[in-house]
Amino acid sequence: MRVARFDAAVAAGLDAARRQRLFAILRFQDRRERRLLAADGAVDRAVSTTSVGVGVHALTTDGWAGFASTDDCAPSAVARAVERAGALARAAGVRGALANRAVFGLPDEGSRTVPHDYARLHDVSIQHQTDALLAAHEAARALPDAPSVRTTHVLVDEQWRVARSDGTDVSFATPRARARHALTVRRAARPVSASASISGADVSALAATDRLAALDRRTRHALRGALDTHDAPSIAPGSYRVALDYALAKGLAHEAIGHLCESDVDTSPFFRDGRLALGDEIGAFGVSVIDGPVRGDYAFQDVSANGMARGNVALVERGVLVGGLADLFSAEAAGIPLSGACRAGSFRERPVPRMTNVRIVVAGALPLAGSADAVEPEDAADALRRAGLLGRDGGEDGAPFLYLTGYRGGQADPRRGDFVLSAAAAYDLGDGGAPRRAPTLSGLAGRVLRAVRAGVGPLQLDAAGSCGKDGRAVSSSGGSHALLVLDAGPDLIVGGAP
Amino acid sequence: MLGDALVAFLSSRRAHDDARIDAWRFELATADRVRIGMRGGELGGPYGAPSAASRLGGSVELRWSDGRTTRATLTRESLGCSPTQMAAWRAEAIEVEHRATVAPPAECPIVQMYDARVAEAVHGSPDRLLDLVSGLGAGLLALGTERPDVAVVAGAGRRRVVTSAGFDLAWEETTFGLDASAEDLYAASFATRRHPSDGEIEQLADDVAETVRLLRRAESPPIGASGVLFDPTVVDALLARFFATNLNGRSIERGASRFSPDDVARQAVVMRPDLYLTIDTTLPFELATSPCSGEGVPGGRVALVAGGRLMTPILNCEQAARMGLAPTPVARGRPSLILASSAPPLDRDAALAQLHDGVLVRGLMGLHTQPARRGDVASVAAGAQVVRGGRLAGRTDVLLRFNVFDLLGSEGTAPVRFPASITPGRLAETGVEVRSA
Repeated sequence: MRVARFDAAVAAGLDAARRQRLFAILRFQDRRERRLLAADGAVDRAVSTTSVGVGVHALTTDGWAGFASTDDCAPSAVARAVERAGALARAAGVRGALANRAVFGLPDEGSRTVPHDYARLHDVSIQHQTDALLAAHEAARALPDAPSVRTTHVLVDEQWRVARSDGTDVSFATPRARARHALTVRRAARPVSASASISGADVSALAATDRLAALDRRTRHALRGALDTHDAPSIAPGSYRVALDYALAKGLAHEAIGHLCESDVDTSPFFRDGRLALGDEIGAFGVSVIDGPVRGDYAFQDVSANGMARGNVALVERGVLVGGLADLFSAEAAGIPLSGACRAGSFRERPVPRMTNVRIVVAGALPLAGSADAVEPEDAADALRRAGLLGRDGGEDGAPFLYLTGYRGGQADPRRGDFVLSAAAAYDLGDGGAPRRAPTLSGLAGRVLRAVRAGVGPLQLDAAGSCGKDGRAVSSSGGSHALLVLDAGPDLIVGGAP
Repeated sequence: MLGDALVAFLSSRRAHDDARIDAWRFELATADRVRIGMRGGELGGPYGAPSAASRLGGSVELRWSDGRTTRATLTRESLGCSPTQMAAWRAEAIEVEHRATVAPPAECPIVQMYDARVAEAVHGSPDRLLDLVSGLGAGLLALGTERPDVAVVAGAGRRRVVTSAGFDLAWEETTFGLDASAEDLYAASFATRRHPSDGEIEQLADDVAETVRLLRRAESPPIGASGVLFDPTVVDALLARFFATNLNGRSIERGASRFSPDDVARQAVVMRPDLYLTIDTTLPFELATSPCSGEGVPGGRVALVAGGRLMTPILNCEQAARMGLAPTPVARGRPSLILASSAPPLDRDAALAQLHDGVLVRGLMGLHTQPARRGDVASVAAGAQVVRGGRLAGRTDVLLRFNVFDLLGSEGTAPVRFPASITPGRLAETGVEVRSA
């Protein structure tokens, strides 16, 4: 791995820490990225980005912390960064800074390189990537309605090395790739926009036949949704029965559940007196929420930014809060086991607990005919009707039942517990699948899982995006069943649109 | 001087394989930054540890003799200008049509963006910034707040923009951000390129303490409330989401904007006739301020909308050449766009009196997810502040629905001057649907 070249810098940094009587965590990052953009038939832009550097967390024996980062990875520069971090820690310590001595209980986990088989960026020529980009791009341009298309194609070859004063020294990779179409069709002199994407670990995820077919399917679905709903009537704000597609369900899992289970957010509604309220019933029976790395996934990371292994963690099991995303510094205070959950997007950041791939799983999922990643409203209605959730058997014939599809993003305030999600398209299945203007959903994070009624179709876990916790971006992904059905209730408001 | 070795390397018209570099430009910056934070009244800690960052980097564009172009970041390693680096740059080259040449020498405005006091705080002992954070935290406690959060971020560095056509400008710059909040109820910020005065820091503390005192009490919005006062930060965010997106020249050209090339050509009416939307990169010590863009476009003040009419899109050099217009200055931070009115702004207290019953909105959740071209907003304003009888009262969560373009085209809004803000807020007496969330 490229980060193997930092051997001398690791030694110099740890040696400086020893001399200064500090415990150091050194985080080296070597990130190479190539971003291509095609617009209306031609490659418009290619940008190659390189970011190399080290972030140093230094803790005094009193547990005072300091942090320094530099893009100079020469041994002497890394040693200086350790000294600077130590000086900051002591300067804050004499003013009564918060102390945390968790690092002093860490075991020496030895030196290891986590194997990861993916195509390195230097093995993927720009021509190869361009060919893959243009193939997908031309397919989108050939769609009915002749949309104007911008296609971005991003490959990130990222490697980390985390070395600690206890002797642990672990190298690992967090590669990712994503292709995304942004389409525009003009209707009545106004632009109508849609987007669709596929993602994975490397260029193979963007060029394989089945992946290109998935992108084509998602693109057609998104474009149809945008054209169906752009001039459709608004939904009056209120509580409705809803079926969310897997991408919106990922947004719900991420914003309304996952963030509230992170051990550094000790004032979230899932905490009592600073500890995660394990055992509380927060969801309907049969509903589980799990977070953890999925190999080949856009947000894959199986080693934490502090050098610990990371696996799957059940946050909610059959409606009961059973776990949290905990890192070294706040697991004990939150009363949950350390799960190696901290991540950082850059060596310049102090890591915090973050999700990787988060998903809502419902026991006894109902069957679905057709693709799980692009459920058309007719298929959704059919599946719900067969399950007795829609129509006469559902007992509310004619009452609104909204199918919301396409995730435009969301935001949560874990401390207050409220969240907002935006859908790209909506259909009222209670009104024969009539299109509705794309709405916003808002609600109270702590209670929304109680409304989950059913999961429909297989799990689809590749809804990829970016998490912006504390203003720092890391890749995120996840999903749920093809459809997640929620009953109407006061904790989920479909906010409509003007 | 910063970047001299790279200038010499690129100026030698180096060749690789069968191609040589015909034209180039780069932007290179070195910066040091210190951040000190307090969370819940406690200084530092592993998540908020005092931190120092040192960086050297930038971006480079190389135009090769065979029509290919390389765009890449500059790093400490790439600045070694080795043959290996040249091969790496060449390997990343693709064919791109250029209609603009790299920027020639130009006269750039002299702007204020360096404060020696900030540079001293960055490069000297951390004690000054630690004292500032500790002192402000203690001050907030003394004013009756609990669990104060305080953070200061100070940066200082040098930047240089050079092109093969002879543009070459270097300057020193600083940044200073101070955030204060308490009880997760209200946050206030000072973010410029200069150190705040003692008076400004006191004003910040007083604002936080007084507002938090009111926001502790949860209330329902006044019955029938339909008026909203948008804080300047919300107005800035709305402009960035809805106008910066739609005024992007590339989006306009390819039909992905609300506005069309014809709208540009005929200077279409896009706002009320008293409104002006400008980019200004010459404001003293603002984060937006800069003598030039990374491409070498001189800084300045340009009206994108004047008298309600669309005057120019936001254009980089390439897009400007494609559309036959002049490139626009690039703001390097807030305020990225400034909405002004030929009508005199109301003072905040006068605006509250005029609003009488309504809400003061300081944030809209998920604004980045709202459809930019349509201009529709349906969002939760969590932690908004009730206005009752023209006076600020307790906190409330409201769901707001409105259309940004309709609001700025209607007579029902007015600019409002807020203390310590260079950009105005906006009073909307009609056109916003307010509902308790």
